[in-house]
Amino acid sequence: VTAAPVRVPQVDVNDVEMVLLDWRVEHGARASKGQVLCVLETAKATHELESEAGGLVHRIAAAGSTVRVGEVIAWVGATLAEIQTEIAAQRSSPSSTDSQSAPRDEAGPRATPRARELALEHGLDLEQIPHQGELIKERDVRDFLAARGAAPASSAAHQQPDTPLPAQIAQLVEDQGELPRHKAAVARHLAATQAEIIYATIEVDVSLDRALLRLEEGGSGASLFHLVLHQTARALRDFPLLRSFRRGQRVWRWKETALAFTLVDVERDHRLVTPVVHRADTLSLEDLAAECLELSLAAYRGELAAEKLSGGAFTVSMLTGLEVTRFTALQNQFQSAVLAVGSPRERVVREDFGDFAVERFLTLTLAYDHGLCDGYYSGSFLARLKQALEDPDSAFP
Amino acid sequence: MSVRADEFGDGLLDEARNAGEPRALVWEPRAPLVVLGRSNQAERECDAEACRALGIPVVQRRGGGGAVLLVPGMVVVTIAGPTGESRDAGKLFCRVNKHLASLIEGLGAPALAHGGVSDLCLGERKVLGCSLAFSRGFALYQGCLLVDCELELVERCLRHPSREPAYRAGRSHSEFLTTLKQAGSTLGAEQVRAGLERGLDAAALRALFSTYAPEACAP
Repeated sequence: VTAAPVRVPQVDVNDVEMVLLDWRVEHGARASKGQVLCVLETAKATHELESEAGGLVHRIAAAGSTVRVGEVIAWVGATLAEIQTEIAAQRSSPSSTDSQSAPRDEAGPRATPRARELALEHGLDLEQIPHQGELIKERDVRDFLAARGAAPASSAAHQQPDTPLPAQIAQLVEDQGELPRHKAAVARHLAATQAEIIYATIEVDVSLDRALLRLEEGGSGASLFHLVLHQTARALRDFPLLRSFRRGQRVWRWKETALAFTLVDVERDHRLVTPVVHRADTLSLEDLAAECLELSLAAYRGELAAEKLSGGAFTVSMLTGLEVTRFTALQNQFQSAVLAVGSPRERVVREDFGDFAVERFLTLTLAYDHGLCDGYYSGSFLARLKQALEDPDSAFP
Repeated sequence: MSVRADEFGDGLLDEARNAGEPRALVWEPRAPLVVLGRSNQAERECDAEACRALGIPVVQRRGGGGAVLLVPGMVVVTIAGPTGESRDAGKLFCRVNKHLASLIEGLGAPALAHGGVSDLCLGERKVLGCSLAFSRGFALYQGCLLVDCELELVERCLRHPSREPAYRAGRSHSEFLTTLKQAGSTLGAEQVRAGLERGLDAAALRALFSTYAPEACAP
């Protein structure tokens, strides 16, 4: 398990709620297995809650708050990126609300929240599970499943049963095992988002000659990708629908223009990370480049703070170094648009006096939610962005 | 016995943890001392001005519950022992208080009743209060028995608690608390201390922390 929730334990029959007195581990700090994470208080007793595994601690509940038995108050995982992925997966799971608070008041045997979840995953009635002591634990459920010959689900990431392959296909392929947990979580999260979006794309070619010249002269440390981020953030000021998203019949707009950008950590099984540059539209190009560098380094170290992984209103994606000319990207959760930036390339163009010249350019592909805005609106945004990139004076004050 | 910080738990908890067995300490305060519960705010629970003026120190314990004023004539029982994965405060309160009640009654005190979450009472008035702290597989029980003590200081030093059990029903400290002496007992604090110490020998302590078996909660 790479990221696991820390839940309020069931300490006795009468206490449904407790007060989280204080945290003993800083948010974002590492804890070792068995280390005390926090102190909880019931009516007359305090309880030190220890970490069941070592890893980074992502705190959710605030000290002084009242928490319910079974509620997730923190996550512990190998990296914050994995924790964020798990949190996103939990939120997109229809059963997440139920799993956050263990049913304590209903009739039936007492069980730990994890035991209840596992029993639910396998359609088991808690009454049928033999156990020692007064509480049914996760181990009891797993033992029961093993005894009856069912493989316990290894995690919440694998809740859907595997569909058997048609026989004529099965004989032609080899089983490669389950998806890695983080990839399964990303897949679930993207699938949930895409289920809500009416997916459409639109694209434009952008001439780069002037922009690249200015970048080479500028000495700001900014790259072409930083320039695209910078101008995208500014252009988004006038296109609020592209920094909004739909949920059912309602539209939600992000209060600030925070831009997420994609990183693929090739050293760690090509894990996808999307750090967020907050208030990107207020940063100078130089400051934005510095922020991106800091975020990238933190991401590769697996030390991105939680707030640097959430709150993105719009995502910019670039497949750096692959010479991919154009591609389409999928929107992230709670966003409606994503801009895919192709690699720069060259083309021959006719100049004003009829001469031919070689020009550098790239292709921008915007994926948007047609349920929220139409092609004209999205095209207008791309036209504004193209204009800003081709006339980059505004980026170099 | 002088009052030391580790008598509020940490020392005994460490001792029990090192030994892997329960340990108990029964003692009588020699000077007034305010002990706050783990989450208590001093300014909310006690009159800091009065405590300062009277030279009464204010300390905080590991366990939950409200503030208490310890004075001579009370007996404090501190017990630490292994609980493993169990965090069932209700069961441990029940088991320890039941044992203490039998010991106190065995010394000749009137019959005690269970009150609130974890009190022992004479009628509707509290004569013993206690708290628990669970820490890495061990529990620390701390109880305070009012044997033969003056309760005037309690009204002066402690405010009405921020939380109270239903059976207190808004009563002031002097209306809510009582002592064994007020109930007609002639037992002195030293006599009770010695009796409880005898009754909390190694075998009794092991029994308190042995595997849970269902039992009635009424002492």
